[in-house]
Order: sequence, then C-alpha cells, then structure tokens
Amino acid sequence: MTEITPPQIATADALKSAPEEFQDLVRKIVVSHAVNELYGAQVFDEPAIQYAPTPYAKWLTCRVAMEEYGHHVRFKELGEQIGIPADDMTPEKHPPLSIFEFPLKTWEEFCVIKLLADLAEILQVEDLLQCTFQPLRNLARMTMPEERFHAQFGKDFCTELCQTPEGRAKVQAAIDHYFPYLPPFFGRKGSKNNALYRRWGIKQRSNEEMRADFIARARALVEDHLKLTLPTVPEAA
Amino acid sequence: MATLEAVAALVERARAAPWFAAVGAPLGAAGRGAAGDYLRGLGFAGLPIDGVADWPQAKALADAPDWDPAWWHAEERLRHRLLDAATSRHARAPLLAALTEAMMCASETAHDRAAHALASAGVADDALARAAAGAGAQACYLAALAAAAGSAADHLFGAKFSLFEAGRWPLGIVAGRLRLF
Repeated sequence: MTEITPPQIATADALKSAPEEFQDLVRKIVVSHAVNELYGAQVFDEPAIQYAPTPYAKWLTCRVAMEEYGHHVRFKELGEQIGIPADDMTPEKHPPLSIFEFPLKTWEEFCVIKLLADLAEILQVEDLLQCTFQPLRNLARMTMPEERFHAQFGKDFCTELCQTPEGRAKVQAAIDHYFPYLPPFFGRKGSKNNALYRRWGIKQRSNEEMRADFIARARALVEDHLKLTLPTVPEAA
Repeated sequence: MATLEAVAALVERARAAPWFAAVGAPLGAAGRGAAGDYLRGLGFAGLPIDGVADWPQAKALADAPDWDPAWWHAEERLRHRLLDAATSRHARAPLLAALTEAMMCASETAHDRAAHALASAGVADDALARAAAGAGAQACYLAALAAAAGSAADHLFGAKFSLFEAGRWPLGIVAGRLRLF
C-alpha cells in the first residue's frame, strides 16, 4: 500500500472534495456508529429501566438511554451532512452485531454491558480523537465524557452488586455470557479495511492493538477490581 | 392531529420550566394539591405527602431498598394503556418522533438545571444530576403520552409533570408516604 500524507478535512462540506476512498471510509464509520448507538439504546438501555432495582437506578438508566440515543442522533446528523440517507443509519437496514441478538434479561446483565461493552465503545471513540476528518473528531470529543460516565455507571453498580455472594455469582455469569462477544467488535487481524482507515488517518490503531488494549483494560476491571474471572476467548482470525 | 400539537406545546413548557428550582423549599398548598391529584389518579388517594430537605436525602429516598414498587407498576400499566390509545389515534412514526422530542428536550433542559441546582447546593454528584434529569424526562414523556392519547388536561401524568414544572421532584412512595423534594 502506497504511503500518503492524509488530508485534514475540517468540515462536512469539505469532505466532498476529499479523495473518494476517504469519503467512503468516513461514511462507513459514521453509519456504523449511528446504527450501533441506536441498537444499544433499544436492545439494552431502554429494557434495563424495568430491571433497575430502585427509582434512582431506573431514572439514571433512563437518562443513560437518552444519552445513547443522543449519540445516535449526533452521528445521524453528521451522516446527513455528508450525504448519507437517514434511512441508511437505522437498525432496520443493518443486521445486528451478535451481542445485540440476545434480549436483556436481568439488571446484572445490564450493569456488565455498561462495564464492558461501553469500555469497548470508549476504545473505539478514543481512536477517533485524532481523526483526520475533524467533524468526526469533534463528535468523538463531545460524546467521550458521556461514554466514560456510562462505563463508570457499570463499574459502580457491578461493584455494589459484588458485595453479596449472590450478586457476585450473577455478575460473573453475565460476564461469562457477554464478554466473548466483545473482542470481535475490533475486527479481524490484518484487516484490509483497518489498514485503509489508518492509511487515511481516520483511525490510529490496528484491530489487534485495540483488541489487546481492550482485553487488558477489561481484565483490570474484572479481575483486579471486581476480583472475578475474565473468560478466555480465542484470538480473532 | 390536534393532540400532537398538544405534545409540541409540552415541549415548549419543558424548555421553559424552572426544573429543580424549588427543591428543598417548604411545601405549599399548590404543590400539595398537585401531588394529591397525582396520588388520587394513581389509586393512592389520601396518602401522606412529606417534603424532602436536601439532595443527599432525596438520593437516599429515591434509592431506598424499601421503596413501594406499587406506584411504579401503576404508572407502567397506565402508560401501556395510553400508548395503545395514542397509537390508535396517530400514525406510529410521527407519534414516536413527537414523544422522543419531548423526552429529549426535557432530558437536556432538566439535566442542565439539575447540575446547576446541585452546584448551588454545594453537592458534587454527576450521577444524581443525571437521575434527576431521567426522572424529569420520564415525567415529560408520560405527560406527552397522555396528551397524545387525548386525555384531559388534568390527567394524573399532567399533575405529575406540573410538579416538575413548579421546580419540584416527586420521588415516589417510600414507607407509605409520597416524598416530594
């Protein structure tokens, strides 16, 4: 692959004059974020309100759901500015990631989703903080504080749940169930798409680096902080 | 379509409301009256209404393990009935868009005001500001849903929203008493 100096694209309008490949990659990543933020809000956050144990937890979950939905709206607005039809940024047009195919059943599962799936989201957003398409960089900076809060929400509630043997067992069961779906979020090893994203400076790190970082940070949370066990998952092909 | 205009009007009220401006103040006749209307509509007529002094006490009550889930379930049953009624009156897409706009507007405005009220009270608690915003957004959604379903203006969800509009936060029923912050 030929080395290039990636352009710095300052506005949504300026994207039109960027190389076609750059435009396609930006559109692809915006669609991915817009769709997955909405999937997450619909599949996990909204249903979790009924499982939350107290009004405080219910209202906090309600606000978190609104924030996730708000992220969808922001990515969708950016998508529309760069010419993506609104209908292409909703779950109806895209098959769900595997983690979204399992309906949420318990409060413990939701807390684990926030702890680990939102950590995975933080890594994805962190990787956009230096993105050469500046509207995407700005959006990453805007959503990052809320993403960090969501992961902290998961950490705080999981910590609370782990104060009892029954709670610890339920949190461990939820980790065992959901964690194996998360490392594949970061894509295949040696991915050509990822190489293109890095070539254009849209993303900064390889899938392998991201996955290794995610597993290390998840291990610190699950094993060092919660004193539970992180399941071993096979390395993605 | 007139009832969706009522939802739009509610968005304006949510935007203008002095969210959480009266929390901790002594309860007046108007607040007790609206709270009584809400309780009566929910099937808890005559329940005592207690004021709540400050944000830490409000958080403790909202997070109390001995809270009474009966009021939440009563609200949920009513919400499902209203949703059925509203979807029979309106096309699904514009209805959901109107309800979402009401909720988003309330969530953002209430969050800003809750963060300000907490800071003014010297309480640093991001999660509590978010929970307060979630409560406000939910109340606005329920009032909007009642409006979309063509319910009367004095519907119990309207009464609940009017408490938020008056700067209060109804925390639900704990130990047999409605706690009104």
